[in-house]
Amino acid sequence: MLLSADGLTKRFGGVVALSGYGISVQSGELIGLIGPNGAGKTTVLNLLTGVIRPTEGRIVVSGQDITGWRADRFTARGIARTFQNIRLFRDLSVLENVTAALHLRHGPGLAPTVLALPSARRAEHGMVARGYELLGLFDLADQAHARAADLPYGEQRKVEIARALATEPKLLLLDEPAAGMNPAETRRLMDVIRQVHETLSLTMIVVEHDMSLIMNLCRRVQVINRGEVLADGAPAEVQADPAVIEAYLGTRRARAHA
Amino acid sequence: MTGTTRGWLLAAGLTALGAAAVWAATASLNNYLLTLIAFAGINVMLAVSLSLSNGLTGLFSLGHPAFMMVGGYIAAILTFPANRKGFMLPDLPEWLAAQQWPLLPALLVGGAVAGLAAIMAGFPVLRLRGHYLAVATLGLIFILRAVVNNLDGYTRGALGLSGIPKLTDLWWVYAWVVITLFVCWRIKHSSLGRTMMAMRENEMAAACMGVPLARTRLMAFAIGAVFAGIAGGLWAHLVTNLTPTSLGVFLAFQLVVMVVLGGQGSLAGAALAAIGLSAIANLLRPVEQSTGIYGMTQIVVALVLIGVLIFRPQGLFGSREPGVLMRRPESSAPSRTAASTQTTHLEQRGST
Ligand SMILES: Nc1ncnc2c1ncn2[C@@H]1O[C@H](COP(=O)(O)OP(=O)(O)O)[C@@H](O)[C@H]1O
Ligand SMILES: [Mg+2]
Repeated sequence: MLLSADGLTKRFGGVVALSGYGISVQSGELIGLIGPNGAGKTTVLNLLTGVIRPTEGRIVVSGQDITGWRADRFTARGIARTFQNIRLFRDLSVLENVTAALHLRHGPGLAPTVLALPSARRAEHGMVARGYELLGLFDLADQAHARAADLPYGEQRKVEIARALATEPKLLLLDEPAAGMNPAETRRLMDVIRQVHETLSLTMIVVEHDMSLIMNLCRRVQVINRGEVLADGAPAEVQADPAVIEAYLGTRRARAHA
Repeated sequence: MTGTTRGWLLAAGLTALGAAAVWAATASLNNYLLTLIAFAGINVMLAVSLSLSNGLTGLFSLGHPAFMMVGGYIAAILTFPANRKGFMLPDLPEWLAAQQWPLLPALLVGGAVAGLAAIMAGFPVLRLRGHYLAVATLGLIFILRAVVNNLDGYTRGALGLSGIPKLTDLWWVYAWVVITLFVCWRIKHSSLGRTMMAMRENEMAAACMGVPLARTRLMAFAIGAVFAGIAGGLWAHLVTNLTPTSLGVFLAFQLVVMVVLGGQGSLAGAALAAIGLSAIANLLRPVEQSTGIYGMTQIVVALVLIGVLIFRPQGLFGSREPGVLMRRPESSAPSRTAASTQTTHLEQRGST
């Protein structure tokens, strides 16, 4: 078991954003996490990456209870993420965004850096080369020296994924990676996500509110609504679940017809 | 010739050029002018190190003079003539009273203690942000002042420590300016420096990319403080006396102006701004004296700051360095032979 969380509850003052949430993730899975807006999806990701601490519950990664650890320790344990509202290092170049994340595993310490030791230079060259490789996965290598904030929205989302991959995660969490993209861009992005999942055999959880995207991409889907898990299983099962139809598809259809 | 070799040659060339200038200055200028240049050099050290700890990380610390005080007093106590220590500083333990160190180890110990002080102060203080951090670090200056006043058996308190041997000369200052620039430049253009800038750009994202925020912040703060401490030691041995009010809020203000003027995180910008402001202050001093309008320097410095904030808020260079000093990006791209299929279209953009 790569990750298991159980009994996760998060209260913000009086608001219960999540209550009794649980998931167990096996190595190699590609899981879709869906639910209407405000369901608690981002809260799940924030909890699973240490950005916020659960009010109750625990998180175990590779057999170790890491509940309450700092976010950077979660990352060091192999959990990486992207953000729903893009959080790039805006003033840094695209390449620097990725190499900053490579520091975790490959960065030289203070002494070798200051003393300009050959090991520091080798590490730097290695990080730059690896940075180009990661950007290449997303056809971004020729943008390496552009300022991150100057890229179009869709490209920025891809830089975020490349940056998350640079931390060499065992589990990658994507928060609405297709938000703000047009259908063609979305299709291409889904292909890239599938490719990353398969070629790197990377375990992933993809958050999405558009159900159809997830149904094509994932073999396992978890649905949450109002902070609670409604269903967890194969796309077909989940889609047939009355609670899901009621709570989720119902609202979507209603909105689509509105 | 690789970009790295070019960088080293450039650095060596600039260092030699500077040394030649120092040599020419010591051979031709009078003591008064040499002292002014030495002050400018100390300001360069201070501005560059503050630009590292503030500009790269996005912290806003005004505490540099506090760390100068730490380094200055420690170094001065260590170099103070042993035969006068007994009655000037009666509370010094005997083993310390018997010591009379040369300048270099005294500076290093002063810098190290200033760094430790920054780590201790940083634990509580660096939890704060923005204005709160600015005010809290300003508080460090007053805390240090109170400590120095009260430890009068070690520091002579409000009387000030006078008769510090005049060991600092332009060569000492120049050497430390070069070391400060070298170390700060290395850090800024390193992987560690990138994590500091990442933290400045977006704290939450930096944490999620594995940057330990508290430790990284503390490291930047402490590195700045080490150089401030050493600069304080140089200052004490240049002025030859040190009082609890020698290094205060106005200096903190001037240093911030230099950093803002140079561009947040631009080391060359901070260095140039330090030289420029030092020159302005020294040119204005005779004007102040002849017109009797004292405080003109403060006014000009403040006006310069306001002008920069209005007309060029990013400073001289933004957070970048002037183009001639930078390696071109080509040099850091992987070679074509090593490029995989994924990196087949690596056309570089010259983007400096
Ligand atoms: N920092 C916060 N403070 C207060 N309420 C929050 C906070 N973060 C999320 N919430 C609330 O928790 C609920 C779930 O939000 P979120 O996880 O962002 O949903 P989703 O990502 O599924 O759209 C919402 O009602 C939201 O208003
Ligand atoms: Mg969300």
